[in-house]
Amino acid sequence: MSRLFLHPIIMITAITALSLLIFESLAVFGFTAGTARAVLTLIIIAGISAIYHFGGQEEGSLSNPKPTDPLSYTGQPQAKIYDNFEVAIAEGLQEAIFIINRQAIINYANQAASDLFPELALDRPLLSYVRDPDVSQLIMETLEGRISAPISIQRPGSIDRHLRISAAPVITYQNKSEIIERAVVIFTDVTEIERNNTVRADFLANASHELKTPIASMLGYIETLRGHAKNDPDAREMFLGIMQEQAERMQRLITDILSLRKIEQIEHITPTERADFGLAAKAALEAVHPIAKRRKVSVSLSGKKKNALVMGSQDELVQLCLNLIDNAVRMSPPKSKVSVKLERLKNWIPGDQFSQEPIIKDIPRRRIVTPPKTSQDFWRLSVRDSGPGFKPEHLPRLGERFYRIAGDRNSKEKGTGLGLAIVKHIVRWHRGGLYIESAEHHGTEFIIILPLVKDISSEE
Amino acid sequence: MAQALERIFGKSNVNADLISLTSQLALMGGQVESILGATLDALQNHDISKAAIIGERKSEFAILQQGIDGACESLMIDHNLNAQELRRVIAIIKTAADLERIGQLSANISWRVQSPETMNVLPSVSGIIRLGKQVQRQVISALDTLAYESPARALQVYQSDDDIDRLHAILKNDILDLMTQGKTSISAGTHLMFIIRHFERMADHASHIAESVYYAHTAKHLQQDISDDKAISDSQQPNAINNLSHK
Repeated sequence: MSRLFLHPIIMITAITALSLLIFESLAVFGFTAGTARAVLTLIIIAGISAIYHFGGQEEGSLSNPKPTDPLSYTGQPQAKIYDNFEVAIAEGLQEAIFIINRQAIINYANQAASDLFPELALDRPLLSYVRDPDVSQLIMETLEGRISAPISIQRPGSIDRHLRISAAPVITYQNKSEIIERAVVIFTDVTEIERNNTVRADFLANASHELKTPIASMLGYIETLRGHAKNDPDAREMFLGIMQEQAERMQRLITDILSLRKIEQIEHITPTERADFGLAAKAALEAVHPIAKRRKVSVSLSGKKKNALVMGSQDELVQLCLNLIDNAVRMSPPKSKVSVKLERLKNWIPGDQFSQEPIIKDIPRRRIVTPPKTSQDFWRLSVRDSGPGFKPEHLPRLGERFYRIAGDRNSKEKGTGLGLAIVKHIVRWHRGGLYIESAEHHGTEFIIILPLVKDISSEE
Repeated sequence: MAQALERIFGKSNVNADLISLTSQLALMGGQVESILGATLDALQNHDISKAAIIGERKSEFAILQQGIDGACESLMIDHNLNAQELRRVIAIIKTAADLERIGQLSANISWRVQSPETMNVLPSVSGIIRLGKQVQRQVISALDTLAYESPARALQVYQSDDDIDRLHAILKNDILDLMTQGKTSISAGTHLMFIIRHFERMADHASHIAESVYYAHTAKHLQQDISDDKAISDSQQPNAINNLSHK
């Protein structure tokens, strides 16, 4: 009852009636018209401030939503029960839904809309949140009564979002003529689909681009061999050598692409076998021995060398260590050292410093993969080289497929650009973490942590 | 009395006019965002013809700005504004001027990459696109600040300007290195130098927008507040944004 009494319309009517009454009576008492108006103004001011004080806060206020009224409610995190069928539907949908008025001011926004635009406020122009010229065009057309085709826009930000936007006018009839007072605007977040598409397209484009170069050069040599170098044994020997190099490069590339694909397919399945991280590191070390010798780089393995058990696949672990150590050896200048260390990390939580001394103080670091579970024991493998290191601006892109640093072009032993991407996926499959610390001119350290499995035999 | 009544009942009118002015400014912001996005696209895809089209759009932002200035003028003539409303109008006028600059700088960048030599050396300075993207984010955040009317966001925008200045300094050296490599790279290098300079200026204008928004809603100057804040809490370094929201 008291709420009904405080309803603004009733209040205004009451105040107006009262003021007219007073105005009349003041005239009766011989007040001049000017004085009477002044008194009247005072009364109206008092009345209106009373309305604002008691009842005004409820309208369009985000802090005090009324779930039953679609025009004043915007989604709040807690679950609500709606007695209005349309609002219940709108709130349940995953698409962001806005109802706007003729001035494109937001009258209603559902839960998904406030998720998409956090801190969204009602009674503000929708176009100040989404400023794309195509969207304003769409909204103007809709408010003129036209139904336009949905449009797609990209909203760059910390996460680039792709949105699909459609709109429809709300038509009401007044005296048998159509009028449009409102419109519904729907935003669908298609970021994931778009991103998958670009990743796939990029991958195909990159893979074919990478294969194109060696094939073109091989074709060139074949032509020469069949042509004027036909009877020149020296040239033939030289060309065949180059062709072999190119073919080996293509083979490496295809092997890498295939192993990446294999890992990607099983990535979501938690490994169930046990594997020995220490043995894997040792095997990888032995495999890179010849190339390290050729480049005069010494490689050392310290820490635990056996029975460092994790859940996973032995072959994949060898590949992981091989990729990292091989890369470190290739990056190192002659007569330098590559040190590989395998240690146990007790109860590690993210943000904890890795116990080892960093290469330099305040070294730029990046997390490439973070472990899904923390606060447990891990095996930590670190591979440190004293190569050229990465510039800070390259760090964010490491682990991307086919990403090679521009300055690296002239290096003789060109990698496939997939090595670290493979490492990344193997680590992810093993539910581990991958970190990089690198300082230009000082060197790089890759750190891998894999969840530890208790070794039954050693505990006895 | 009529004036007194207008002071009461005219209020909603001022508000509606301010909101429509904000919409108009947002539309201009959208145009600026779109030209900046298109410029970055052209840079990324080495699209000379697209750059040429964008380079022609130099003068359109001045017209938009004049429109907003005119609307602000009539708003100020029509209504008896209070201090808060007046500050909002001032912020809108300033923002429109900053947006005009950003739009024009963007067109200038496109104009500079039209020559094939510049396009060709562009990939050798890999950070340029990154700088551009960071600036783009900065401009978008500044315009968001306007939409959300949030001083805290304004502060965030203002603080990230330092990152851009740092990246700009690194790129400057990279381009100088490139220019010493040979006579042919000198003219292209000069263009690149202007491009990163333009980007850096755009970020400055974005911070400027953030400052205007901050002023409109707090009646205080952002730079002043930050230096005061530093003086108070230099040792423990809590987040300046938290401090402000507690004030």
